[in-house]
Amino acid sequence: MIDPSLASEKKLILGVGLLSQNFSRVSGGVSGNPGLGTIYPEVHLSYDLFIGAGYSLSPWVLYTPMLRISRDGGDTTNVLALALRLKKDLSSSLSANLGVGEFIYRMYGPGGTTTLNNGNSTATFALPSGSVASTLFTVNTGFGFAFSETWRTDLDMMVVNLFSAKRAFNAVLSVGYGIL
Amino acid sequence: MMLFLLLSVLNSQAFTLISTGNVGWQTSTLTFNVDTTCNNYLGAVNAAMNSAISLWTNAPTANLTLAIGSTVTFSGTLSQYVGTSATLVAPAGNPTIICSTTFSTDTGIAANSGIPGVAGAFNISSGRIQGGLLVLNVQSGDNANITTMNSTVVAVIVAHEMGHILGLGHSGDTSALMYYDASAKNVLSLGQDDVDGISFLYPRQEPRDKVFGCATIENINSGSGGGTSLPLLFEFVLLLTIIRLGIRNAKT
Ligand SMILES: [Zn+2]
Repeated sequence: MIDPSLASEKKLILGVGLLSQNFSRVSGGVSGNPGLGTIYPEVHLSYDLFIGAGYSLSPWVLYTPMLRISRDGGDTTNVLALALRLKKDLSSSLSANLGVGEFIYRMYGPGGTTTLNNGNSTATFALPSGSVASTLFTVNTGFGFAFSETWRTDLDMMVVNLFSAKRAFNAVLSVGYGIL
Repeated sequence: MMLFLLLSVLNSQAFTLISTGNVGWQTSTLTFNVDTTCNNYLGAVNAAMNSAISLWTNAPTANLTLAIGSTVTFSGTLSQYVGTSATLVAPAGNPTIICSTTFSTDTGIAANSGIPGVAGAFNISSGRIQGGLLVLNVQSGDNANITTMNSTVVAVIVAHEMGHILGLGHSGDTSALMYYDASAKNVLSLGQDDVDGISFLYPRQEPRDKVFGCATIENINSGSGGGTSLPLLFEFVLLLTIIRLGIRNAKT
């Protein structure tokens, strides 16, 4: 049986948007007050596998194609995130999802040294060298709104360390295009 | 689309490390001992240490558990460890926090230089930090005596110096705790740059870090081996104190 509300929608979505890592968690400026998090451009793909009664299984993969590059080239970082969500159609245009996934945060350093202020003089400091990744489980949730058969917008959240004081929110605001 | 992407890329200065070779501690559970010289200031020191410990421990993508350890007595001559012409490194073992009533003599930094603390005497061998000292300025009459500062400022100072002990150098990013000048900070927080730095040295890798609790740190993918020790004295300017004093002087 095909759900009438889903029959006309595209199943393979290509999305682009902005990822906010550590939303309201890291310092947003010189005073140390929290800001909007660390913002990256992101692309993602999702596929809706209809399983009945308005529910779909929706695998999702996100990548930040452009590294966040520090001005002095000291380090660069990027994100690869994977998730498997259960998606529920709330109406013909509105949907919600809940799932689990993995957040892979990779940091790269060029090696070498740099000279920085050290109080009342300058000093030579080492730059990170090589690449290191942190890998964290996520609990994912989100809402989506379909404007048409092909265009939609989504707000998704990847929560890391949900049950500890290390908890942080990584939010994604995106526009999606239905390919197939 | 390209323009959108280009406009969205954030630029920031990057974190640095105290030594080449990505040198951190071997363990992800590190205890800071407190020297008996801090006995008279334990309220302020413990409050700041607890805040600083929570801050670094809770960095989302890092795997660190910090704690306050036992009271110890540092027996050496401090100026030989953190003075401007120091020759010794800290004994191997837990890092120690020392409160110095003779801060300018011990460090070689002139009195009233606005420097509330230093981290140094890094004992680095086998590509790891094996020991370190964190010296707080409690010199009577000095303009950067931490006992005259409010608790948030002291927590920022201790957390910054703790960052050095953990292996981080200064950052050129003004939003970072590891920026060399914290005079504008009125909230104790980590910048993304600090989180990156501490995650680089102590990456969190689930399920390993969940299933096995506090694991030791694996060798990270650096290519270079043992790391060259940089015998640095890290200084931390607290211009705020100077500005405050300046205002006070101007008033009187
Ligand atoms: Zn410093």
